[in-house]
Amino acid sequence: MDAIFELKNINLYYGQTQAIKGIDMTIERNKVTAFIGPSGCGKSTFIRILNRMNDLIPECKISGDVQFEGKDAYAKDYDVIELRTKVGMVFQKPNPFPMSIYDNIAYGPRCQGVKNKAQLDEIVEQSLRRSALWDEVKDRMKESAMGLSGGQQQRLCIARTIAMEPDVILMDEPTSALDPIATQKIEDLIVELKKLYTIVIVTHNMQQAARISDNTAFFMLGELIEFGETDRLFATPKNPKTEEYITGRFG
Amino acid sequence: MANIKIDADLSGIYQSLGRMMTLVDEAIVDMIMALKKRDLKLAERVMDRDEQINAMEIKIDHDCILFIARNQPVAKDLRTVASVHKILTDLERIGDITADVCKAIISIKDFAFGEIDEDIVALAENVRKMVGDSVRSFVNEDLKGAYDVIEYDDTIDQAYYRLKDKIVLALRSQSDTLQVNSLVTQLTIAKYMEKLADHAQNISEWIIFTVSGEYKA
Repeated sequence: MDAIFELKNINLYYGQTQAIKGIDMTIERNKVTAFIGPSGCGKSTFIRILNRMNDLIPECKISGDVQFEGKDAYAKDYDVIELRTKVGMVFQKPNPFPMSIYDNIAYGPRCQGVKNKAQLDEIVEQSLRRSALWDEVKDRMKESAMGLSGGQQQRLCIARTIAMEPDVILMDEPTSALDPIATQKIEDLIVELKKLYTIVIVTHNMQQAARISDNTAFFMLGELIEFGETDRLFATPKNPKTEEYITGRFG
Repeated sequence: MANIKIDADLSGIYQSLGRMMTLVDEAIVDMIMALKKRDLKLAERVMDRDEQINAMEIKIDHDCILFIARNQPVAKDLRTVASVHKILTDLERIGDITADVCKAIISIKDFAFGEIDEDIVALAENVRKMVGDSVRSFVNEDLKGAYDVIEYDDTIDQAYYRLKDKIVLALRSQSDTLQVNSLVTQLTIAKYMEKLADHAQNISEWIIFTVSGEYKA
C-alpha cells in the first residue's frame, strides 16, 4: 500500500470533551477515502486534522502522530502554509470569493507570487478543465463567480484548490447542498480526480460513499469503528455497529 | 433498532418465497406419489403446477428488483435479497424438473422394475427432505442446517451411482426394446433426482453467503 497519510493513536479534545479517541488510520495515495458516521461522530473533526484546520480553534488539543508524506505534520518546524497548499480543502457550502471566476482561481497562485499573465492563464484553464467547469465558463471568465449555480460554484471551489497543485483534496460534505444532477457531476469529477490526487471525503450519503470511494471509515462517538475497502465494508461489514448504521437500524 | 420500511419489504418477499417453496414441495411430493403409483392424473397436476411456480418466480423477481430500487440495500439486506434472487432460480428449476419427471412417468406407465423402482422412490424421498431442509435453513438462517444439506449431497450422489449401476446391469439382460426404453427413462429420472439435490445444495450455499458473506465454492 502506498500511504500518503499515516495517523497513529490520534486523540483530540475540545476543552474537556474528547472528540477523537485513539484512532489509527492509513490513507492511500490516489484513492478516495470516505468518512461516514452519524452527526457528531468526529468525522469532520478528523478530516480537519489532516491539514491542521483544528489549529484555528483555541481550546482544541491534539495528541498522536500524523505523518504526511513521511514527515510529522504537527512538528514545531513544519510549515502549516505548505501543508495546507499540499492538502487543500473544499467545504459543504460552496464559498467562492466575491470576485470574477478567473480571479477566484488565480487568487492562490498570485498569493504565492505568480505574476506572469500567461502562466496564470494556463493555471486557470488547466484547473477549470480538471474540475470539468471549463466548457461552461470559458466565455465568461470576467463575470462574478457569485452568478454561477451552486454546483458550478462547488466545482469552482475544487478548481481553486487544484490551482494550488495539491497532493490531497479534502472534501467535507461537498454535495450536501447540491441537487442530484450537480451531485452526480461532482461524483464523476471525484472519480476522475483521484488519478491525480488523493481524495478524502466526509459524506452523510452512504450510497455516495459506496459509489465513489475505495476505502471507507465508519466513525461513531469519536471512535473509528471500522475501516476497510468500501466494497467489502458495504457488502460484509465486520462490526455489528457498522451493519446497524449502514442498513438504517442504528438508534 | 428496526428499519421498518426495509424489514416490511423483506418480510413480504419472505412470505412470497414461502408460498413458492410450498408449491415446490407439493410438486415434489406429488411427483413421488405419481412415480410410486404410476398415477397419471397426479403427474398432469404436477405439470400444471409448474406454471404457478413460474408465475411466482416472476412475481418475487419483480419484488426483489423493486426492493433494491426503493431501498438501495447494503450489507446483510443486500446479501439477503441477492440470495433470494438466486434461490428463486433454483426453485424454478426444481419446478421444471418435477414437471419433466412427470412427463417421463407418463411414458413408463405400463412398466414396473421392482427394486429399481423402490430405489428411485427412496432417492426421491431423500431429495425431497434435502430440498425442504435447505429451504428451512434459509428461513431460519441456520448455517449448520445449510452445511448438513451440502454434506448430504455426497450421499445422494453415491445413491445415484449405485442405482445407475443397477439399471445398467438390468439393461444388459434386456432385449425387449420397450423395456430398454423404459429402463433408460428410469435412469433419466434418477439423474433428475441427483439434479434436484444439486439445487438444494445451491440453496444452502446461498444461505451461507447470506449469513456470513462467504462464498461456498
